Amino acid sequence: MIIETRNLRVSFNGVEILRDISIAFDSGVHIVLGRNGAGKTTFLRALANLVRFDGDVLVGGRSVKKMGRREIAMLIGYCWQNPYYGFVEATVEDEIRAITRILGVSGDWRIVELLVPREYMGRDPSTLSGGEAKRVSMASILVADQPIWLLDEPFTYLDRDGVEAVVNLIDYGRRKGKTIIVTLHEIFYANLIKPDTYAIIDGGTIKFFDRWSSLSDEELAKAGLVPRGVICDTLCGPRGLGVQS
Amino acid sequence: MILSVVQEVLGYRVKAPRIVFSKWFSIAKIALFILSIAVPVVAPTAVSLGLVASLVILLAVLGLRRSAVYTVFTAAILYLIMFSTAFLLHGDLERITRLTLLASSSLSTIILIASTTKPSMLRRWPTLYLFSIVFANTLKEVVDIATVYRARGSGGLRYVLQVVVASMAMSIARTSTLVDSLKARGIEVTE
Repeated sequence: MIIETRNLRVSFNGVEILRDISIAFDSGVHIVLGRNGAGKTTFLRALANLVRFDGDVLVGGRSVKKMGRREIAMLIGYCWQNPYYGFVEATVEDEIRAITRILGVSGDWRIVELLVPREYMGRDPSTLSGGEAKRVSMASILVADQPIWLLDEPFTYLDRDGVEAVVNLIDYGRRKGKTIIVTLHEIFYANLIKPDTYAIIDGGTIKFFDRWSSLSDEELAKAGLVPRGVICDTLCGPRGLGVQS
Repeated sequence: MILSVVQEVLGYRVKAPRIVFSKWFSIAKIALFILSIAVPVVAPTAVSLGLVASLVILLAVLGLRRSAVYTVFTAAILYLIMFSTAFLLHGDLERITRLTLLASSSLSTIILIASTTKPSMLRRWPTLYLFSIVFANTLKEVVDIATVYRARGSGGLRYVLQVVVASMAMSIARTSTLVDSLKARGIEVTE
């Protein structure tokens, strides 16, 4: 399903956060990169109609402004960055079931299996560790099996198992034909999920948008991001991890 | 002491037996809440005292022992302060007794309701649902923020004021993020 923006603009207290963004994402995995404060989260929140904006956001050709909240939640799964900010229920199981009950859908429990180990189910979500909370938070939205996923920095807080779970989740979503938009502020995780396209937000506008294979270190450096060359030099060079000098 | 009561109340919602979340128990809780206000106002003191004692025993039987002790403790402190003030100023001692019983009975039923009501039970009423979520989240953060202030060496009245002010600021800030969380799940809530 295609999600697109037309002249999207967002301002807070007179300060323009996003300026005139027109972009379209089709089925597949898309990375939105940008330095801290570039407007990545605001961009995702605008796509999910969670902030006031000028211009338009179209999902399958229909404006989100004309949709009810329930309809938007059926089409768009928005996963926020800080997992603790979104917990609403007393147990993990209730937290995950909440959206299926609200929307009246059976959901895709394979998504929950990929993210949340069974032993978490009886726990209070606020007592989970950062990584555990992140997994539960994502599962509590994506279980509704929306065709569009918006994942805001999905790798924060995660250990190796958690990163692997999210990579598998994105791969699963890709195989189901979903449109997955992932915001990241560093390039390392992008390589793990092998996106189809990348967009770089800087200064409230999309500076670059192209196929993933076209991404250059020069573009990353211009947008204030750590270039791949630097990561490789550090990890793979003579002083890097696991390399005997 | 109040922080340990908050922890007990929030923890109870996770481990409580299923029956306390049933429809019939909810009806009983509402009836108890009405009784907890009406009885101390209209009934003889002995009846009110009996009600308070029953509510405290109910809390203890359900496993909310710290809350039961807290209810008795605060009632005793409140009565002592109010009684001595009324005695010195030649006030109405019976009214003081009724007020203390009213405070104790309503406090114990509020504790009972808070510890046996999951937010999911209020999902049909978005504003109430949001209120219960903000309430529970704020309580959890109050416990955290109190630990931080204590670790910084804060104490006495200053410590209490710092925690109260921080809690109020937190509940306001937290409301908007929780509204987003509900909207993402398909519930329209006006802030």
